Amino acid sequence: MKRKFYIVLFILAPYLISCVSEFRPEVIDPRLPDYSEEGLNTAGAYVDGFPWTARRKLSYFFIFPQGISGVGDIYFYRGEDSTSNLIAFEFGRHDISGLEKDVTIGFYLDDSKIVKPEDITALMGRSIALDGERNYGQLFLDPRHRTADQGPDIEHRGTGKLHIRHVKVQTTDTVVVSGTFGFDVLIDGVLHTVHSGRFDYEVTPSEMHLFRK
Amino acid sequence: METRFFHHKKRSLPTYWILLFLLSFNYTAHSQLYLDLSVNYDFYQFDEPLNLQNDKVIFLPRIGVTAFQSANKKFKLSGETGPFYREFDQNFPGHKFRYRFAGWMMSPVGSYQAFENLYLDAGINVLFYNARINGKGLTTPIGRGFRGYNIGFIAGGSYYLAEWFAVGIRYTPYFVKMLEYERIGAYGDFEPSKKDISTQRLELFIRFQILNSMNK
Repeated sequence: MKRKFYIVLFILAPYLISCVSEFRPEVIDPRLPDYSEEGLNTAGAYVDGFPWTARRKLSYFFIFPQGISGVGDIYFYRGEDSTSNLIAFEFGRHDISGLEKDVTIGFYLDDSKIVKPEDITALMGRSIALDGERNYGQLFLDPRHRTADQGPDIEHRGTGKLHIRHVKVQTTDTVVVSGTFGFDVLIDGVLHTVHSGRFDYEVTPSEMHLFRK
Repeated sequence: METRFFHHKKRSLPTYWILLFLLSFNYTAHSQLYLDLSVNYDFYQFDEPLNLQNDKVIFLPRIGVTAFQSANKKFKLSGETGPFYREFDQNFPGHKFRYRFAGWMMSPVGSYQAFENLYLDAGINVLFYNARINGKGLTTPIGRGFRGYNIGFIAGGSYYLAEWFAVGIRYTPYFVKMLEYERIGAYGDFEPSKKDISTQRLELFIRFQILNSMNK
């Protein structure tokens, strides 16, 4: 009897192993990256209901110094006093039914004090309320005209939430940071929505910058 | 503080099952061997925001071995195996994505001789497959969130026009929902886990009896 049980167990083993559940949030829209915690260097959200995606691309910055760098990348900008930061996903692609344009999404965080990648670990597990006062969401609809490195856009402050769900130190100067977000922002009398956002980036010192003067 | 872990699914190898299947029947002294060629159509039930479309019929072969037949020849038990495939589309404004599920299937099937040439079939259909997505503007080709297996109940029948040839029909509703996922809410909160996409398969087939050492 016991032997029969083991034979049945052996036959069913692959099936039982395959039953292990898998945590895969937001997998139903292939236009956006899934939420991940692996440093895949992607971000995505619905901006005004249309998909917005950012993906780090190889830059020719060193060959063409005047060219645009940081397309689809994450940047941690800070002021001279290094007390607050503007985290920006630069030049993401906003796809409005096939019509594409560049849009940058960001977050201004007061008193965050991020100067180097390992400082991000202090945000691990935090759900930050974007209250529109100390912390707020940023939406640069024309990032070539008004770039995030010029500093926060204090006229248009988005309210919502930023969740830093995963921070992992990879090496001494490389950190993986992943999270989710969403906010609403009023720009020129129009309420814009940035909803169901997710990001997963590997951050190195090259993503840490002072605001451009 | 919310902590999430990723559980990486270990997929069973179809070869493992095929090997077991072949070994099971390798030593059967008297058996029937048959080849089925089938035309399949899949029906899907799903909730919003999914918007799936399917207009394809799928042609699939399978091989079967009848390993047991009752003394009065009224009842027989067979094992079937073969490749498995299904697909559907999901459309968005300006985008069309095709989801493809390819793998292997196995079925133990019992048949009862209701009339002289008519057999009624009932069995279990076990599927193992991988999910892939194709389409312009895709972020990942891997069908994450899709289960790599499914189990269905086979109901149908086959009518023998000749000793070596039969036509048949089968209907297979599947028990396991194909997709499990958690949505990200508007403001970044994870919403409760949701299971979606039920499927049923309707199949017409022709059968060629290749070997028959049971002296049917």
